[in-house]
Amino acid sequence: MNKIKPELGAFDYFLAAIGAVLATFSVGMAVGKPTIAAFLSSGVLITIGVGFMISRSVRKTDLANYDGYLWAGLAITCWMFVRDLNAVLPEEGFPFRLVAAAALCWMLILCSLVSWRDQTLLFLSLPCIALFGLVGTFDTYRPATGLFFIFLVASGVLYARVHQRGMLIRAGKAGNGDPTLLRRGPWKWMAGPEWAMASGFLVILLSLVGAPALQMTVKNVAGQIKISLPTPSNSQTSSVAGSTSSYFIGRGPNRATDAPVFKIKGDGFFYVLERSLSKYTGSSWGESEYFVGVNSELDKKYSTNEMLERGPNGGFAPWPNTVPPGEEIDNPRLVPFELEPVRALPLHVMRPGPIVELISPTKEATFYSDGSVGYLALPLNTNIKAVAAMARSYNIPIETEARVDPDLDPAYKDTGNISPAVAQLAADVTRPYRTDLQKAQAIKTEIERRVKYNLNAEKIPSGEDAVYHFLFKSKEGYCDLFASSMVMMARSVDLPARYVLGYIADGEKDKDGFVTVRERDYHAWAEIHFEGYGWVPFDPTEGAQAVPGGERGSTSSARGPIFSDENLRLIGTVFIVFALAFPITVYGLRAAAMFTKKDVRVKTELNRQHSRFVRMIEREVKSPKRFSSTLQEFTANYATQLGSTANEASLIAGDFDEMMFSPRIPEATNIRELSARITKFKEALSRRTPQEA
Amino acid sequence: MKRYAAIALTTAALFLVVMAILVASPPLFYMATGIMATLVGSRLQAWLSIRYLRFERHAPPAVKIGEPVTVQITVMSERKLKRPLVTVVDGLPGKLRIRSTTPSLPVAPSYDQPIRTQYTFTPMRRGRFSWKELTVYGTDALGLSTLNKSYDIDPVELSVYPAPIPVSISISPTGGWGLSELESGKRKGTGLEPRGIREYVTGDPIRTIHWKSTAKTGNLMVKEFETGSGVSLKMMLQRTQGTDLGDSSTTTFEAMCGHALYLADEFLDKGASITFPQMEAYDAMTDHPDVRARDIRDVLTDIQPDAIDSLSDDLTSAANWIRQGDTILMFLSTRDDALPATMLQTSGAQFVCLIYDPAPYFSSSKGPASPASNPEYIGILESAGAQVIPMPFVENLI
Repeated sequence: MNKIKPELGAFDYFLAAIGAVLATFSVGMAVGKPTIAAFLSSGVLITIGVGFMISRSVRKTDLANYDGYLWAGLAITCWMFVRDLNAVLPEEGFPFRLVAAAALCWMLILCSLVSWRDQTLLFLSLPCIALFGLVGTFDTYRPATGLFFIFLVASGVLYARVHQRGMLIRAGKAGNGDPTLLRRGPWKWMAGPEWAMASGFLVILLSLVGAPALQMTVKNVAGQIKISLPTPSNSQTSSVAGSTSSYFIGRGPNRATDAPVFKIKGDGFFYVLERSLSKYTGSSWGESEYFVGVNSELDKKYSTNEMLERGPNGGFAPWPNTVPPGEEIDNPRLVPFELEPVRALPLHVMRPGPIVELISPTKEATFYSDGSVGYLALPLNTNIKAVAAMARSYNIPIETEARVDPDLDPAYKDTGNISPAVAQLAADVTRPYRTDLQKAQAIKTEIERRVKYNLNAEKIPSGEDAVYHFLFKSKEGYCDLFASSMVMMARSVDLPARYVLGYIADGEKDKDGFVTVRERDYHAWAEIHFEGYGWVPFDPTEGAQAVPGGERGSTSSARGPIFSDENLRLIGTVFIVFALAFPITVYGLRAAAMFTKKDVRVKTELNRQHSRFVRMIEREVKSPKRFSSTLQEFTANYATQLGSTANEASLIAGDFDEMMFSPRIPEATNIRELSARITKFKEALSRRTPQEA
Repeated sequence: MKRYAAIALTTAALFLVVMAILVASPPLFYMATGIMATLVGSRLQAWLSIRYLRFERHAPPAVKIGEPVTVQITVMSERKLKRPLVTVVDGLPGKLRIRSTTPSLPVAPSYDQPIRTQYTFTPMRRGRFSWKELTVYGTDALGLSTLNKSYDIDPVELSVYPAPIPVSISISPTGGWGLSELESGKRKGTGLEPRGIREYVTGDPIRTIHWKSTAKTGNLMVKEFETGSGVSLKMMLQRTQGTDLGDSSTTTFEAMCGHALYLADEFLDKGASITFPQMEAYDAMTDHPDVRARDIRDVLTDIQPDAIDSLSDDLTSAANWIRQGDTILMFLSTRDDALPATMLQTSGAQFVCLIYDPAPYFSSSKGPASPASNPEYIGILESAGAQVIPMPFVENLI
């Protein structure tokens, strides 16, 4: 408190900056645009610094008194020109639905320049709260809650400093503005920073406990409003032709958690496909130029509109009774399914197979030529119901050829980056076999025999071909390397194959028939196209041996990384309890240490008995003891009311005066005797008779 | 502005709670709960800060108008708990007419030790005032919630005396016995002969002690001097309801009190005897001028313009106390039609009417309908034998 001065200081601006930076960063990350997050947070940091310097310049001038008007004017300007300001932001700014976030962020940036006094600096916290509210509403950025609590603590400290400053100024007007003298005198027993810190952590603890309780309480009435999620930024949705994103393989130990991703209901499927990739680079997989994304002509053609036909289940059927051009199969098995998102979905919705009929929701859905469906903005708590077509892969005749229309995607047979050793291995293992199906099975068997499954496998050294390193050097890896090996070996013997990412839905069904699919169920496998049967999964991880401790679903993977949700909650709780307990413990130990000193102990007990005696008499005479009167004077003034006990009261008062004000520290036995006398006095007080005049 | 920030925070918290329930978003529940917990904690701390306190108040018993008054307030906590700073505001009565007040020092009450704070104010109205209420304001450490609680403690009684307002009036030598000597400026102790010996009363100067008599009687005896020529002045102020004219802090009645005090001091100094028949019993006078001055000051502090009787009624009531040769100073601002006749009926006394024109005491041009300064009325008073003296406008009471 000593260091708090009557004027705003750099530390106050620092506290305001914490909140503003965290809020703008969170909202940028929530819409999946890290560039915007970085731009806004660095912008607000700079302008707060500039605002601080301006405040120091104008502090002693009249201009400082107009900061409120400037603040209000700039805030109104931000809202009036929000679209233009949003356009200034990188990556085309916020989506239109979230343009309010742009206004709030620009408010923070511009109004920071004119926050020259306490009041205007405090008002910066309000747009921060609004931004955090937006982030919390959409719940697309997990760390936002933690960042909000940091903002709350920083803002609390700022508010406390502003309040202290106000008190200092008032004390100055009252004639004593010296913080040192105040702290030694009338402010000595003020609830200080340790109290504030403990309160702050208590608030956080209450929130961590209270919020889930509150949520449980209102569970039956919650969720009445459907909020359309902002489209997460995804480079695959870029309109630039040929743009791809890469999925790297062999990146080292897998740390997927148990966090649920979605729930799915339906029968007869094991693999739930998210996306398929066909272009291998040696260390990663990507989309080929054929599947560009949302702006391809083929995709646009099949977006939901009135021209689409209705399927037998009443939904939209872009490819009535058939599968999409890239997924053509004969006599597919039609599998109805229902998907319940737990998190924001990726652009291409997960499916057991290419979607041939979309039942709900159909608004603003886009059908892609790979058989997937995507939504620009999916309402929260909305399940997706559709019908997928699945290949009947268990009844493929042995003579069936593995063939795909080369016009669709030449990359399915692209062996451009295959290592010669891998191609040779494929040729060797398939030499005894005649049919494509036998060759595919032979490759799968060879991979299962040759390598082991290990979730903790080391990262593939950079510069090396991942498949080669996996098959010939490390011989350990997990699904991505298994699938990549299967695809490349199959292609090298002229089998059209693709790399597929998705999930394994093999969990237990709940009472509604849904299976919860988690992060650790994320999987990669290979698919080979058989004419008339479509893309048939070939998953060499099925028969591969697993390294102990590195199996799929093993504790090392199920436990998740150190910063998994569960661990973070545990760490957070421990931190908060420790942070709360630490000052209390230190305070308690110090108090105990003080208390062990004899004189402190004795004086404390003496004071306690003194208070007890005074309050006893005050209750009887129904009048308080004046601060200016001594205890003897007090008992003498009310001698009449004390009646027959007046004399004893006077003697006890005299003993107190002697013990409290003599240079000799009284013994504990003396105080015990005095306490006993007070107890007897109390009994006598209740039986007293009026004193004779 | 901080109050608006607190209101905005509360609104934001409620909005977040509502949105959290409607949207069922877990982060919103955490955020809303965090803000609500902060606000509830602030309110609780502010509530606790103003509870279980004990106060004592010390103020001077009397001051003059325009003199600053410092009130000391001592506060102690009746519970052993740490509090944020609290500020104390005294429940000063509204009719005290305070010109300026300094804020009281914010303090943190302690369980073991009384903490003192004080504030200063300047009263601008005479009278006797008493108040007992005291309000304590407590704000939480973040400054978000401010609550207050009133405590009734031992009342404070403050007497605000009028300040003498200098004025010079010239009373006609025929206005009463001994006035010429009074006007000549003779004062007691300036060559006047002692007229007797009497017992000492508090306030008598030491130099007047008659040591011989004192030694003889064993009691302290003093010489008593002629007080001029035995001039007896009676002052009567028009204190009827509705005759205190003016729309600012300075009114005609306040001006009368200030002038009356000044004149009383002046005449007392010159040896006259001053009485206020409206407020004093005849035999309540003491002889010693210093004590008399204090009595007069008390009279002029207590007198208020709230009587039902008119000035002429007061004069009639005081007729028994009026003696031959008395000079009666009548302070009036509003026309009293019965006054001239009453004056004529009161024989033996000489009247001096001090007239206060109420017009300057009003900020607007419109004044009262029947002022005493009306020339026709003045003529009537003069016809009744009174000497009429117009009194100057008093802008400030100090």
